[in-house]
Amino acid sequence: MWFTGFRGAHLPLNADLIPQSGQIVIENRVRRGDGGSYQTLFNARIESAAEAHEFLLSFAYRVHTDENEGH
Amino acid sequence: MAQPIDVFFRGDRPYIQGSLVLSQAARIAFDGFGDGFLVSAKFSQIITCGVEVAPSGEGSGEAFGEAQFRTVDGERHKLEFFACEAVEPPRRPDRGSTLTSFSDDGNLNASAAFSIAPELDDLLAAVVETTKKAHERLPASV
Repeated sequence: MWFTGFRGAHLPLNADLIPQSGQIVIENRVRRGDGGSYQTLFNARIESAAEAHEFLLSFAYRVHTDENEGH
Repeated sequence: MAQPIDVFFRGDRPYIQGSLVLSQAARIAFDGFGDGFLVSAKFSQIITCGVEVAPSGEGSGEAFGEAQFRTVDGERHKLEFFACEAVEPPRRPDRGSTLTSFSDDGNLNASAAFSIAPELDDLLAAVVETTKKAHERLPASV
Protein backbone atom coordinates (compact mmCIF):
# COMPACT_ATOMS: atom_id res chain seq x y z
CA MET A 1 0.00 0.00 0.00
CA TRP A 2 1.16 3.52 -0.54
CA PHE A 3 0.53 7.09 0.48
CA THR A 4 -1.07 9.01 -2.41
CA GLY A 5 -1.55 12.42 -0.85
CA PHE A 6 -3.44 14.85 1.31
CA ARG A 7 -5.16 18.22 1.07
CA GLY A 8 -6.52 20.92 3.29
CA ALA A 9 -3.50 20.78 5.59
CA HIS A 10 -1.65 23.56 7.35
CA LEU A 11 1.49 21.73 8.45
CA PRO A 12 4.29 24.01 9.64
CA LEU A 13 7.69 23.92 7.95
CA ASN A 14 9.38 25.69 10.85
CA ALA A 15 10.85 23.11 13.24
CA ASP A 16 9.90 25.32 16.20
CA LEU A 17 6.24 24.77 15.31
CA ILE A 18 6.33 21.05 14.54
CA PRO A 19 4.85 19.03 17.43
CA GLN A 20 7.25 16.47 18.91
CA SER A 21 4.52 14.49 20.64
CA GLY A 22 0.79 14.18 20.53
CA GLN A 23 -1.99 12.10 19.10
CA ILE A 24 -2.91 11.21 15.53
CA VAL A 25 -6.52 10.30 14.85
CA ILE A 26 -7.74 8.94 11.52
CA GLU A 27 -11.36 8.34 10.60
CA ASN A 28 -12.14 6.44 7.43
CA ARG A 29 -14.53 8.27 5.11
CA VAL A 30 -14.28 6.28 1.90
CA ARG A 31 -13.03 2.85 0.89
CA ARG A 32 -13.63 2.08 -2.74
CA GLY A 33 -12.28 -0.04 -5.57
CA ASP A 34 -12.51 -3.39 -7.28
CA GLY A 35 -10.31 -5.95 -9.00
CA GLY A 36 -8.01 -5.93 -6.01
CA SER A 37 -7.14 -2.22 -6.18
CA TYR A 38 -8.58 0.08 -3.55
CA GLN A 39 -8.44 3.69 -2.44
CA THR A 40 -9.08 4.90 1.07
CA LEU A 41 -9.80 8.46 2.19
CA PHE A 42 -9.51 9.63 5.79
CA ASN A 43 -10.16 12.60 7.98
CA ALA A 44 -6.84 12.98 9.76
CA ARG A 45 -6.17 15.05 12.85
CA ILE A 46 -2.88 15.73 14.60
CA GLU A 47 -3.47 16.83 18.18
CA SER A 48 -0.70 18.35 20.27
CA ALA A 49 -0.30 20.69 23.19
CA ALA A 50 0.16 23.60 20.80
CA GLU A 51 -2.68 23.15 18.32
CA ALA A 52 -4.60 20.68 16.17
CA HIS A 53 -4.10 20.12 12.44
CA GLU A 54 -6.88 18.59 10.36
CA PHE A 55 -6.74 17.47 6.74
CA LEU A 56 -7.89 14.85 4.25
CA LEU A 57 -5.53 11.94 3.67
CA SER A 58 -5.61 9.36 0.85
CA PHE A 59 -4.00 5.97 0.37
CA ALA A 60 -4.10 3.27 -2.28
CA TYR A 61 -3.56 -0.45 -1.89
CA ARG A 62 -3.85 -3.75 -3.64
CA VAL A 63 -5.11 -6.97 -2.16
CA HIS A 64 -3.25 -10.27 -2.74
CA THR A 65 -0.05 -8.74 -4.08
CA ASP A 66 3.34 -8.17 -2.58
CA GLU A 67 4.23 -5.59 -5.20
CA ASN A 68 4.14 -1.84 -4.74
CA GLU A 69 4.44 -2.01 -1.00
CA GLY A 70 5.30 1.28 0.56
CA HIS A 71 4.47 4.92 1.06
CA MET B 1 14.68 25.01 -13.15
CA ALA B 2 14.67 21.59 -11.48
CA GLN B 3 16.93 20.95 -8.49
CA PRO B 4 17.94 17.55 -7.13
CA ILE B 5 16.84 16.82 -3.58
CA ASP B 6 18.54 14.58 -1.07
CA VAL B 7 16.56 11.35 -0.97
CA PHE B 8 17.56 7.87 0.17
CA PHE B 9 16.22 4.39 0.76
CA ARG B 10 15.39 4.09 4.45
CA GLY B 11 16.05 0.71 6.04
CA ASP B 12 15.17 -2.16 3.71
CA ARG B 13 12.48 -0.25 1.81
CA PRO B 14 12.75 -0.67 -1.98
CA TYR B 15 11.22 2.76 -2.61
CA ILE B 16 11.67 6.42 -1.67
CA GLN B 17 9.20 7.52 0.98
CA GLY B 18 6.76 10.26 0.03
CA SER B 19 7.23 11.86 3.44
CA LEU B 20 10.94 12.23 2.70
CA VAL B 21 10.31 13.78 -0.73
CA LEU B 22 7.94 16.31 0.84
CA SER B 23 10.23 17.24 3.71
CA GLN B 24 13.25 17.67 1.44
CA ALA B 25 11.20 19.75 -1.00
CA ALA B 26 9.99 21.80 1.97
CA ARG B 27 13.59 22.70 2.76
CA ILE B 28 13.82 24.30 -0.68
CA ALA B 29 10.43 25.95 -0.20
CA PHE B 30 11.41 27.20 3.23
CA ASP B 31 14.63 28.70 1.93
CA GLY B 32 12.94 30.27 -1.05
CA PHE B 33 9.62 31.35 0.37
CA GLY B 34 10.40 32.02 4.02
CA ASP B 35 8.36 30.63 6.88
CA GLY B 36 5.33 28.74 5.73
CA PHE B 37 3.12 25.68 5.66
CA LEU B 38 2.58 22.54 3.63
CA VAL B 39 -0.98 22.54 2.31
CA SER B 40 -1.36 19.57 -0.01
CA ALA B 41 0.49 16.80 -1.81
CA LYS B 42 -0.27 14.22 -4.45
CA PHE B 43 1.74 11.22 -5.67
CA SER B 44 0.86 9.17 -8.75
CA GLN B 45 3.58 6.53 -8.56
CA ILE B 46 6.19 4.95 -6.32
CA ILE B 47 9.75 6.10 -6.92
CA THR B 48 12.91 3.99 -6.73
CA CYS B 49 15.46 6.51 -7.99
CA GLY B 50 16.67 10.08 -7.47
CA VAL B 51 14.23 12.98 -7.33
CA GLU B 52 14.27 16.52 -8.70
CA VAL B 53 11.90 19.30 -7.70
CA ALA B 54 10.84 22.34 -9.73
CA PRO B 55 8.29 25.13 -9.47
CA SER B 56 5.11 24.19 -11.31
CA GLY B 57 5.56 24.43 -15.08
CA GLU B 58 9.34 24.74 -14.95
CA GLY B 59 10.31 21.06 -14.93
CA SER B 60 10.67 18.76 -17.91
CA GLY B 61 8.95 15.42 -18.41
CA GLU B 62 6.05 14.03 -16.47
CA ALA B 63 5.87 14.83 -12.76
CA PHE B 64 5.19 11.89 -10.43
CA GLY B 65 3.90 14.19 -7.71
CA GLU B 66 3.26 17.72 -6.58
CA ALA B 67 2.91 19.74 -3.42
CA GLN B 68 1.50 23.13 -2.49
CA PHE B 69 3.03 25.38 0.14
CA ARG B 70 1.72 28.61 1.59
CA THR B 71 3.73 31.42 3.12
CA VAL B 72 2.66 33.15 6.33
CA ASP B 73 1.42 35.94 4.07
CA GLY B 74 -0.91 33.54 2.29
CA GLU B 75 1.07 33.31 -0.93
CA ARG B 76 0.82 29.87 -2.54
CA HIS B 77 3.67 28.03 -4.27
CA LYS B 78 3.30 24.78 -6.15
CA LEU B 79 6.25 22.41 -6.64
CA GLU B 80 6.39 19.35 -8.88
CA PHE B 81 8.51 16.22 -8.42
CA PHE B 82 10.35 14.39 -11.18
CA ALA B 83 12.03 10.99 -11.20
CA CYS B 84 15.76 10.98 -11.97
CA GLU B 85 16.34 7.44 -13.25
CA ALA B 86 20.09 7.90 -13.63
CA VAL B 87 20.54 8.56 -9.92
CA GLU B 88 20.79 5.65 -7.47
CA PRO B 89 19.95 7.00 -4.01
CA PRO B 90 22.04 5.76 -1.07
CA ARG B 91 20.60 3.52 1.62
CA ARG B 92 20.46 4.72 5.23
CA PRO B 93 19.41 3.02 8.47
CA ASP B 94 15.77 2.90 9.48
CA ARG B 95 14.76 5.19 12.34
CA GLY B 96 12.29 2.79 13.96
CA SER B 97 8.70 3.47 14.85
CA THR B 98 7.44 7.02 15.30
CA LEU B 99 4.53 5.73 17.40
CA THR B 100 4.43 4.97 21.11
CA SER B 101 0.91 3.53 21.15
CA PHE B 102 -1.76 2.54 18.67
CA SER B 103 -5.39 1.48 18.82
CA ASP B 104 -8.02 0.92 16.16
CA ASP B 105 -11.48 -0.51 15.63
CA GLY B 106 -10.55 -2.88 12.80
CA ASN B 107 -12.53 -0.74 10.38
CA LEU B 108 -9.87 1.84 9.42
CA ASN B 109 -10.52 4.18 12.33
CA ALA B 110 -7.51 4.56 14.58
CA SER B 111 -5.60 6.71 17.00
CA ALA B 112 -1.93 6.69 17.89
CA ALA B 113 0.44 8.59 20.14
CA PHE B 114 3.65 9.80 18.50
CA SER B 115 7.04 10.93 19.72
CA ILE B 116 9.32 12.40 17.06
CA ALA B 117 12.08 14.85 16.27
CA PRO B 118 10.75 18.24 15.16
CA GLU B 119 11.03 17.38 11.47
CA LEU B 120 8.30 17.46 8.85
CA ASP B 121 9.52 14.07 7.59
CA ASP B 122 8.94 12.53 11.02
CA LEU B 123 5.51 14.12 11.44
CA LEU B 124 4.34 12.89 8.03
CA ALA B 125 5.88 9.47 8.68
CA ALA B 126 3.88 9.20 11.92
CA VAL B 127 0.66 9.92 10.04
CA VAL B 128 1.55 7.38 7.36
CA GLU B 129 2.58 4.75 9.94
CA THR B 130 -0.72 5.18 11.78
CA THR B 131 -2.68 4.72 8.58
CA LYS B 132 -0.65 1.72 7.44
CA LYS B 133 -1.16 0.00 10.79
CA ALA B 134 -4.91 0.56 10.49
CA HIS B 135 -4.84 -1.15 7.09
CA GLU B 136 -3.00 -4.17 8.52
CA ARG B 137 -6.21 -5.34 10.18
CA LEU B 138 -8.12 -5.51 6.91
CA PRO B 139 -8.82 -9.01 5.60
CA ALA B 140 -6.48 -10.61 3.07
CA SER B 141 -2.97 -9.44 2.30
CA VAL B 142 -3.15 -5.65 1.93
